[in-house]
Amino acid sequence: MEPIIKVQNLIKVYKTYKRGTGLIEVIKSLLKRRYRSKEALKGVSFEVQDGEILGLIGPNGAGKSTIIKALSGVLYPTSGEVKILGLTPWKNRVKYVKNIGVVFGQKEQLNWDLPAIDTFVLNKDLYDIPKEIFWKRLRMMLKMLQIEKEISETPVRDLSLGERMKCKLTGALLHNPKLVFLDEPTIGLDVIAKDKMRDFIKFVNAKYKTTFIITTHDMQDIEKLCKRIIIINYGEIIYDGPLSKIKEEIISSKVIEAKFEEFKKRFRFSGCKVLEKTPYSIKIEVNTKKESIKRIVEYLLANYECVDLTITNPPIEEIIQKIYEHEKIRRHS
Amino acid sequence: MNMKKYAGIVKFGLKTGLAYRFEFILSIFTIPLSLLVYYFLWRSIFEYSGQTVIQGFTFEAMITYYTLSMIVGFFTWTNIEKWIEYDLIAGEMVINLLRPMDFLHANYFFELGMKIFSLITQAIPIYLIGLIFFSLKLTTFLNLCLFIISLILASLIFFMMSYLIGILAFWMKRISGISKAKRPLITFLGGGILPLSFFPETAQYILYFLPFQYVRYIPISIYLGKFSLTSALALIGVQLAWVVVLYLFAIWLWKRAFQKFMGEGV
Repeated sequence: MEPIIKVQNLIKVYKTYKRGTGLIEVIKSLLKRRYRSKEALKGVSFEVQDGEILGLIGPNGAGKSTIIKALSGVLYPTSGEVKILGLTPWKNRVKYVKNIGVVFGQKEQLNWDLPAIDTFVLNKDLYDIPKEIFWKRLRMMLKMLQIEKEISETPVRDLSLGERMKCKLTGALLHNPKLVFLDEPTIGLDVIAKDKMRDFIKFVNAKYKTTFIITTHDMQDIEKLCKRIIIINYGEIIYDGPLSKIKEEIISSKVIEAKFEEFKKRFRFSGCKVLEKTPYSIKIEVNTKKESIKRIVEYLLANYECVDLTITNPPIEEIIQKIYEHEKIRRHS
Repeated sequence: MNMKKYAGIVKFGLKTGLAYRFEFILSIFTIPLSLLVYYFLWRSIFEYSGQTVIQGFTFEAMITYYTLSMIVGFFTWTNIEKWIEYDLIAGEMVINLLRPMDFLHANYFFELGMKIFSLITQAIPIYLIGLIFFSLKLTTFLNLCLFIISLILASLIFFMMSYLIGILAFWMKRISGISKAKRPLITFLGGGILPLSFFPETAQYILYFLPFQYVRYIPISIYLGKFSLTSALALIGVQLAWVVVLYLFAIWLWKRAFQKFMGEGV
């Protein structure tokens, strides 16, 4: 099947200027500006299939937002080719943005002075949504996201963060776009609200085959929504593949946590790392390529009075952090 | 062209305008106030000079001129460049660009919506105040029609000039300085402070080739019946030409501005 998004060798260089602090530096910069080029994207290529939920992750300043902006048609890249739904986003901006929805978690997208419903009605006209479909869809979305009618009729500035976020998502999805970019959609939300948001995204993806591209720092978002992730750092893709592969292959480690009646003997076992130790418990990380889980568990059961034993995967945050750090080490050497 | 789209954005502008309705209601009182200043200024000038006609203007004609100047100024004035500057500085531009609408048209129709409320609620009161208190004269039906056409074109020229200043913010970041210079420059060169017939002949000649007088002086003079039908039509033609030239320039400049845009704020 033809991919919905095709990105080839996307490069973006920002040109900005620099100056030191102090009055003399300020005056100097008036006369002569020292320019600085910042390579935000250094040749990024990937494809996205129709109906996918893709997670785009990376540390701050890695280039995630630049990708989102270039792909949503509001930014001219320095070079490279992007074909989405057969269009080049920044060249056919007006025509192109009709097909997409964008939510910036950190940005107010609804008119601050007006109730959200006014922005929704504007979208109805801008995206040419037939009246009956518009109201039906709006009712459905408000119900699913548990937004009361009154909330959509209150000026946006008087709403809570969670309410605004839900309204933003509604605004971005009302025209049933083929492709949706979510830039940190759960930022600042509580656990329940986050879950609601994720369920809703999943529902829309399943029902309308909407393609989602999500950037986030919340690994729960990724784990619950994405099958595939792209990790980006220093403007380059450092991983593109299934989430499960990251979990299973790249870092093949398990965490064993054991609780004891009493911790008499010293723990002696090579090939694993002790993460935490108290008189009644121990937490160890095992590299399953070097040591088998079975041997450790047998050792623990044979030598200690275990009351509890759990084996878990290390949290995804740690894995990602390792990849980031790994990348740094490779770069510095 | 999709009219529904434009109607939608006009409505949206209207709603935004109504969110600040108090400010609009207040300006019903402030506009006649500045008219009063001109009224007393010219009354003392006429009394002091002892003449009844200055540069072809009687006192009554002078007050009519300023009343019309207020009306034309009120109709044509826009601060769209400040909105553009604000959106760039505050990092809101990305949100605008995500709307499936050409930037120029989106701005124009939003602004139109913002203004419609004040135009409807204030243009007629101001006209009435002019008629009753400031001896504004009624004009012939033909002149009124020509005046309205000229007024619409004037507002388009004004909009284009402001929009172009706004687009400069993509390079300069802050355009408050130019924006502040805009008011006295356009008002003065457009004939809002003094009728242009007070200017030296060479200045008047040069001003024919600049867009400024077409946003103020020309519509006023058409209302006052200073031109024959043919020259009035010719001047309307010049206005139209300015609209086209500035429009094409705006499209050209926008293309460059968009390529320059760094997507700040997100």
